[in-house]
Amino acid sequence: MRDAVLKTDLHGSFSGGAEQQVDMEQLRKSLKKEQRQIRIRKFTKNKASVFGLIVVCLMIVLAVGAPLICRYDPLELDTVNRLKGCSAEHWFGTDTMGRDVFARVLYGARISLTVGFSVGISAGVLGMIMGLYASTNKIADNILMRICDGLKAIPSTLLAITMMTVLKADIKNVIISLIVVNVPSMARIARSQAIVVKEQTYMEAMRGLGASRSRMLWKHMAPNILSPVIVQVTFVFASSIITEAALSFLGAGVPAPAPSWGNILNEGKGVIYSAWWMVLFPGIFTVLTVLGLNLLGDGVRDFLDPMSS
Amino acid sequence: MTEERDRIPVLKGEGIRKYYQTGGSLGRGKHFVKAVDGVDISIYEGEIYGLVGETGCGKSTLGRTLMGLTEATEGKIRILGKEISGMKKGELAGLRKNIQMVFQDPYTSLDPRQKIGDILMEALEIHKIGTKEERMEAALKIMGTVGLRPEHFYRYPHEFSGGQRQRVGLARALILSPKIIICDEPVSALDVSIQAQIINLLQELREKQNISFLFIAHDMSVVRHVSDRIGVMYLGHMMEEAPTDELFSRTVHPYSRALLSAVPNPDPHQKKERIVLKGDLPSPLNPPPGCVFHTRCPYATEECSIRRPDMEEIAPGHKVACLKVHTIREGQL
Amino acid sequence: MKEKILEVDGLCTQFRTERGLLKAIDGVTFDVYRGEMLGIVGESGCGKSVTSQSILRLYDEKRLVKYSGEIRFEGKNLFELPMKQMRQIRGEKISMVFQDALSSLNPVFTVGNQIVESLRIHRKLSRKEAEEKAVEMLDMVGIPDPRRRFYQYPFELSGGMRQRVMIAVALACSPRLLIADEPTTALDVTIQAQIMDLIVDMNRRMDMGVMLITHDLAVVAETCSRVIVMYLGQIVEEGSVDDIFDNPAHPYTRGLIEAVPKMDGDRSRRLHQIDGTVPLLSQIPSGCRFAPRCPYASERCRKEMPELKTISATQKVRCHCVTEEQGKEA
Repeated sequence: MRDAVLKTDLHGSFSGGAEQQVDMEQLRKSLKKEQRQIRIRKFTKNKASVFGLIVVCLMIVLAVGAPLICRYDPLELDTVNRLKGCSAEHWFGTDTMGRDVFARVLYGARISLTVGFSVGISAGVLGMIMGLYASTNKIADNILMRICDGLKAIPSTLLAITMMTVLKADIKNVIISLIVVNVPSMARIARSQAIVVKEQTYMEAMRGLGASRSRMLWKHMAPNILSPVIVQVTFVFASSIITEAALSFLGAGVPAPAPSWGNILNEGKGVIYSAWWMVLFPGIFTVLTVLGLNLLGDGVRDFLDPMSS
Repeated sequence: MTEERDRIPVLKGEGIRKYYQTGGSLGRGKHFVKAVDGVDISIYEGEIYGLVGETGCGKSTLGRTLMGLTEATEGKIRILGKEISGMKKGELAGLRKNIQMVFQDPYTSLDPRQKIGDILMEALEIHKIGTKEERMEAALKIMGTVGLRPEHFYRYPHEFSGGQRQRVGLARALILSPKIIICDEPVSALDVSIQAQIINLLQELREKQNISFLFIAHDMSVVRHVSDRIGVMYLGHMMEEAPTDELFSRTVHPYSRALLSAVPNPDPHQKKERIVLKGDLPSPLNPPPGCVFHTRCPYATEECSIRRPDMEEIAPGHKVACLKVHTIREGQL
Repeated sequence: MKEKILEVDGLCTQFRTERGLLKAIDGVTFDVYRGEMLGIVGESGCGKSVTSQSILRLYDEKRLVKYSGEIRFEGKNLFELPMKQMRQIRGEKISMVFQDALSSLNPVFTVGNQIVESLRIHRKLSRKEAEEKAVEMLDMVGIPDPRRRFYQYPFELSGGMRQRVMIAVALACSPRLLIADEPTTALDVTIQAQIMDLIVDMNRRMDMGVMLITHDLAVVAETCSRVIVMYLGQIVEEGSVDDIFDNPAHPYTRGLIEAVPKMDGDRSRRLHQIDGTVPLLSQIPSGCRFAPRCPYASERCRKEMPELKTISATQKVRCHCVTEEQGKEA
């Protein structure tokens, strides 16, 4: 073979290597392990994102394990024990109808996290698709970006409230309206990154190899625009938890008996002077989760990036 | 080189023009940047053709046009003797496989999120060649050819030095067994010692595999070392084309002369006369009429600003585009 | 010998990283004389730019670097000067020209204003006088029609013109030392030739010392009188141009010279190549730093770091094998 001849002609530190018999499968595994270790080391070096990860995981555990942790049903009325303060019985006290606030906050986490997660992921995926297409097609770019500009011109909470008044107030519609609100900024970020990536020489090199458009879009551009999108996803995750709370607080979110952090806050606002616990605990949970998610974002980006920092 | 004229070039461009439109999306103030303005070029089997010129002379655009990365505004391209315009898509893709490219910047020309092995196998995957195992075998073999070790297969580009990345770029170009490789400034981003490694590798490939190269560069001494024939471009036009030794020993075009005289020599004892060109490179938006070089040419006369010279063959394989070619050759200037 | 204007003595520059200190410059000692052109050559990562930045103390000393050694300029150790005095020296007594003229000039000021500013910082000149002087400087660096160019912005000029402006800014206060860090790397050969001619001309006319930092041996051969070759943060060879190009003693210097294709070289021969790559600063080999890539390396080279030893009146080299090899050549 021509290559066999050539090998011997390459001097220096490169020569000899090619003749070596290497077990590729074993090599692949050991390198994969090594690369994973590097990523984990990179992630754990950032103490803030480790803290974020712990907080978010804790929230998820609490939300999922709510039935096991709570002794009370979040909807169970107990009119005798109305507005009781913190005690061994009711850790976070009880609300205006005697429901256990601890249970309501944990069950509320289910709704809040569901909303945040669905909105973050859906807006991320949709925004990425829109951004990618906009970066490669001038007509699609004009149409999509003008729609995004139009949506961004309306304050997002206002837009969400308007949509909720038109739609039936339930969790599905809250998610839909929050996706609509958040997609434009996501698409913008994806598009601007895609434009940068499109101009890189490796995209040209792929074209030179005869790669099809969809291969270039999904195999090469998508992974390279992922980092900023992921960071934005965590922001959207966090901000939709807040917006959902705001919507519920204004009575335009998840309908009343179901506990969401916004709902609990809403009910607590009338009795804030006598029953501070109704506002404080859902408030702390909201702030912690949002903070945790924001801190996590940077760490996730570093983790996904193969390049060492 | 005379016998080469009877052979069919592996890559031939005839009257290639590439204009870029600038400004005036509404039709007002529309201008064209004439990046390449009517260039003929032929590259024969197993030769290294050096293309030189200063920044903005259109040498990279010509390379990219021949490669098919941008479409020529005008002109014919023949690959292996076949005219490509009007060709069916599938047939064209099969033919295009024979031309591959190595880029200048080894840092941006590899996808940072793909492992070296995947980068190499990708080319085969696109053209649906072989099974997964066969592709891997081919990739490993080509890595050996360019001097990379099998351990590098699962590594990411950022773990490599510039020289090693350029080897990966070369391996990617080689894996489809092309007939011609267009190298756009392949060594100008590399250190001197690494540059020599890559140049030697290119020459080895040419000898062993009979691959032709279009070697685009601005470094005259590197081009002189590797090329069999050299073309000198200025402002989108070919000024002079000749076999390397002929070009360097009997330089005719005033621009080529100025370009060669400006090259520094790594020998402190040889100080030579330098021809300094007056003025700046004119804008390709508004190139001078007549000979594009006449605004800076020490020999220009009024005729030069009116009539555009054609390429004229003054010795076997030695072509010059200059109206004053005979007076210059007779030593009157 | 002419008077020394700059003495660098045992300069070490260490960067603070997450994994501790990283020695980018390890004990570099050299002098710059008045009116000479000193070339500092090496490949990327050899520390030639870090050396020049260290002389001007351009790195953030609180967070980024730790310097040691001495840099004496006009009898003062620059490392002991307070920052205020250091700023006065920068641009007035020692000035610098960078590779990338476009990003080194401020895009929102006219080129004239940038020279005026440099003058007004260091000299007590009225606006009018400074403007006169700026036009004079533009004329001196060979910019045609300097009065009109005075009011142009950097983006309106070509690459060569911008580099001329950079040189005019650097020379405005008649510095005693000019550090030119890859001044022509981004330019075409014809422009490079013009800029190098200009630097040589200025060096003669103003009798200042010039440190030319470059990777291009040919440029050094054409312009400099003395050459320092660096590898991995150390000086491996120092000598006059004739020493370095006629009688290179260090295998690395020889490799570098032979790796560059010559305009009159034999084209049928393969280029000499230095195998391997420059190691990372975090993986510096013990012993001679060039040993892993050196064809002559012995066991001793891999274990013991050679000292920079004087082999003639003008030439110094850091290599264990050098005496034997010189014997061979003789």
